[in-house]
Amino acid sequence: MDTKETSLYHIYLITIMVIVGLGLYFLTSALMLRARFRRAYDAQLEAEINKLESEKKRIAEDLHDEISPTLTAIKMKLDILRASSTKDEESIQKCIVYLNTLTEKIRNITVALMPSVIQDKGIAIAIEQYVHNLGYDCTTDIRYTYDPLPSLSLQNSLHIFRIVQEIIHNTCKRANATELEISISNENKMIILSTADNGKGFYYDPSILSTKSYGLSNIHNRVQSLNGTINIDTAPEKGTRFYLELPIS
Amino acid sequence: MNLYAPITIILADDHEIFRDGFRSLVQEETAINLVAEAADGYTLLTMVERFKPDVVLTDIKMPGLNGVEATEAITKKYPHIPVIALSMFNDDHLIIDMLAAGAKGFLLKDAGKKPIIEAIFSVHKNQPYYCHATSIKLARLTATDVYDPIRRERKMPLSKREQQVLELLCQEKRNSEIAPMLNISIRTVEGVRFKLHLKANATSLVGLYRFAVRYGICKEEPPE
Repeated sequence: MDTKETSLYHIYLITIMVIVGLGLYFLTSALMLRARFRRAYDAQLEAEINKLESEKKRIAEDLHDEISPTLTAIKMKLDILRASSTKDEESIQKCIVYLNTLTEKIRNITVALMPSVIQDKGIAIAIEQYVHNLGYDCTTDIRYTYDPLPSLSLQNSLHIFRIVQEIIHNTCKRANATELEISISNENKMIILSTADNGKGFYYDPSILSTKSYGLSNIHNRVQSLNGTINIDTAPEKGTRFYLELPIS
Repeated sequence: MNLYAPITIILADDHEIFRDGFRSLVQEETAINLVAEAADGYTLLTMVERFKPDVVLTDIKMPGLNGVEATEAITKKYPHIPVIALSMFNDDHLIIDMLAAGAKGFLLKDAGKKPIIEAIFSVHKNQPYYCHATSIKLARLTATDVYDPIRRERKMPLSKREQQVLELLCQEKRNSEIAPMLNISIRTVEGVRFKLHLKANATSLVGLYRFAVRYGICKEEPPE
């Protein structure tokens, strides 16, 4: 009887261990699967962002190399036409005005798609120029300081540029702030981007950000692509502070 | 100089269609003679060497040697030949770079016939010329100190917080006094001071003070 009880006990023990073992196995594989999905999702996201940027670059180059010179040439040809009547002359002048508007629009689109200053002068100067040229688009007083930065790949520069653009855009359009401070520095192989505004702030819950705001999730995705970290400190009526650490690979 | 001889010019641009438009535009002008065209910076230099034109007009973004580099080379070798920059964009850095390289004029490519002709005559008389859009930009660039070739190195290297701490240090405040004034911890003040020393390359308060004076942060007399 004793031996029977012992063997029964052993069977129970083994069954429980098998169940626990199986449970653990399923749990870990579920977790690993989730992590793999997550990685695949991140990789896909990054690939999509990069594809988007390279498409933007291609379109900007096409506009600059094909469309703009052609429009300019058309304008020059029109400029030397001698109309035989005032009606014709009026038509020519109208065409020139239309062409001017079109050229200006294409110029703005090209710069928005791909600011050439990033490639020419690097990210720090690109942001300075962007801030300087905001003009009436933004009534917030923006102060910008930067350290000399090492040269970064165009891809990484673009990520940082779009992040800053997004923060400035959000502050100007929604924060109701009078001041925005932006600083970029370079410490221990990290680029530190920090911003602070005195605006109305917002209720911030990191867990629901992706569904709530396109702008914020865009920032997060780009930080992820850069393998960086982001810290957002904000609350209603308390202003908004961003602190980003971006490793230089 | 013969007043009646046409002004000889050379155009450099990598877009054939733009050169075609430009060609027809200056052909109208008897006082201007387009003697050569180039599609890149190196060809431009060869053409300038060969024709010694009165005025050069060049695009900025070109394959090989770009417009900025070509302008530098031309103005160095032939200081009397004025160069006009032709650009699709009037980005700050393009204007600054071209002027720093020695360009006497800056024109948007779509500025139109009149400004282009005016620019050629103007720089030929040794007077700088900027098209309407560019001159507005240039005024703002100089007003906001972005374009300041002399003091370009003197950009404020400190953050706002660092400036605040340095200003208070100039007033002989201790860390323990600064912290409550700025609503930060003493630790943070110490951290900021550490960074200030690094940025000012200073080993003592005197070094920090000299740095502060140089950047106009200390408004009061130095502590005795």
